[in-house]
Amino acid sequence: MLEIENLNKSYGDFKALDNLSLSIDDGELYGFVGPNGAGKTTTMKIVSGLLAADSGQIHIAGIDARKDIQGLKSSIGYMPDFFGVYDNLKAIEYMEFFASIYGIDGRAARKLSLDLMELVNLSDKADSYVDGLSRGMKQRLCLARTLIHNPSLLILDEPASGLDPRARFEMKGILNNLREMGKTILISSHILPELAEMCSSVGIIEHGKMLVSGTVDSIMQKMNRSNPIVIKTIDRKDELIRKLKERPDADNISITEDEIYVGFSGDDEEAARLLSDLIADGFRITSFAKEKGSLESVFMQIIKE
Amino acid sequence: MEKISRFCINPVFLKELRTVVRNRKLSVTLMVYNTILGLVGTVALYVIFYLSGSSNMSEDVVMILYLMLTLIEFFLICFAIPAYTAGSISGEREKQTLDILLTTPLKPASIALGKLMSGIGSIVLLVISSLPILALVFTIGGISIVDIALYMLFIVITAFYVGSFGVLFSAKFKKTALSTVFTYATLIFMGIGTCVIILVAKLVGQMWLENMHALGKYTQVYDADLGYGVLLLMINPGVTWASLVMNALGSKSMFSEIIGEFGTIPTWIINWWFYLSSGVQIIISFFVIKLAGRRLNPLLAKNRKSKALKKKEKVVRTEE
Repeated sequence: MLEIENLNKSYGDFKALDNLSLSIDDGELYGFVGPNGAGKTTTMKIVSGLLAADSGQIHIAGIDARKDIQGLKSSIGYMPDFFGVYDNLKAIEYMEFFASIYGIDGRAARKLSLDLMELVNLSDKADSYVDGLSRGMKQRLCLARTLIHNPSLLILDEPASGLDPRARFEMKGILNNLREMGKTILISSHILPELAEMCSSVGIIEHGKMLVSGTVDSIMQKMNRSNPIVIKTIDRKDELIRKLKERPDADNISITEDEIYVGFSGDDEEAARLLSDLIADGFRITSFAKEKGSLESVFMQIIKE
Repeated sequence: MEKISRFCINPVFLKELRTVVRNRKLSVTLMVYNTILGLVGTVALYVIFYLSGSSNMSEDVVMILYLMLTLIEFFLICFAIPAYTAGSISGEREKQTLDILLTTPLKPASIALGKLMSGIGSIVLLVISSLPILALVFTIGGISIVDIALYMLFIVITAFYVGSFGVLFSAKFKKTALSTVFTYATLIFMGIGTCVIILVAKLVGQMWLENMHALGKYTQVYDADLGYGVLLLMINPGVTWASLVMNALGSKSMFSEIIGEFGTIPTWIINWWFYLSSGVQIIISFFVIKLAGRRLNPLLAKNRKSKALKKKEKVVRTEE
């Protein structure tokens, strides 16, 4: 659905995007992760036609987005990270206004607007003035607005930022619904656990470069390989640490109140051998497991590297 | 045809109209505007009917009343146009609604035109609301409905003309305050600046001719004639107003004399000054709106920045 190849963008001397490439398949919910200033919003703005790239290729559903601007605009629905609403306009009028831009007028516009407002659970707010809605409602209304022309690709920049937990939960539900409807979604967020739950794929970006991209599972697996082993023992903790330090495949040993973290370079076979050695040496092990990674830990690990 | 009407009466225009009429600002403006005009009209009538002590209304009396009302209305409109247009796009930017609009299939020029049309819509509402006050001149006679219709056309063209600069500056500057200042500055240049340029050119030319005479190069002192240079005044809506009003009052020769004082141009240009200058102003407006559209186009920003960077690099190299 979306193919980005070697995208470059500089602001004076500052390189915002450095040969950035990514690929998103049809129906995917792709999470775009990176620290502030990494280039997420720049990428999204370029894909949405709001910013000109210095070089690179963008194809959306086969359309060359840098050449066919009108084609691009009819293929995407963009929701910026910060946006305002019009004063003195009701929610339904706000929707109808955008419908009319896409050539949908009259009854058809009203019906479509009401359907979309129902999709984002805002049907009861159709006659409320937009500036009187809560932040979460405005976010949902804006999301409904992005769907007015039935775009194939949704670009959502931090859609859950500034929302309370309930509103975030509602937003997550709507995004899952959209994914089930077959929409391809590119979403950036700082709330990584939520992204891990929702997204089929993620891309981690820093200094305008794509550091890692792929399905959440494949990235986790790849990164978990270097996760430390967490060992819990009933007694002889100091002796156990001495024993571990003697091993060439163990390093970076750290201790918490009841756990020992061991950086282990061996594979699963060697880890199993380590456990049996420790038991053979008479250590009373109550727990022995690789630390389970989260998207957050993976993100921190990649950024550190 | 449908494309053109959709380009002009686009969704932005309709949305703006809807929000503008719901805004209290419009009702307050209507009230203040008509109060001022009403006061001027009432005072003028009082002076004409009671203080003059004469029951015979001469043409001069009609002239004064018509001149006063249209002049005051013209000033009020000129004052109001930047207020309605200079914040049209910068306001969208400040409210963070512009990016969303730019991702829609609406062309940037169409957005700019929609904003301008809504500004003109508000002005037209002001003018229509003032028609009963303007109709005071009918109580005396001497002014026809055609004159009033032409005057209304003139106001719409002026709104389109001045408003287009408001939209351009609004697209160029991020802050509404800055674009408002620039729009008023442009208005002052058009209204006063052009007259000053013509006056200074005339004076300098006259001084030069007198010097030439003193040096013995000319046998007599000629009058400085700017020739077609006076056509600069075609961009001045004040002069367009003067041509319209003087035509309506049958003082075409007076207008011709004033223009002729500065430069000799064919009589037909003076006779058709109102229509010609209106045409010039409409053409300039379309050009300015196109420019505003280019300013709004985010994908053209790169070229502008590259040009600015190249210029900067050139300056640095020259300094080195």
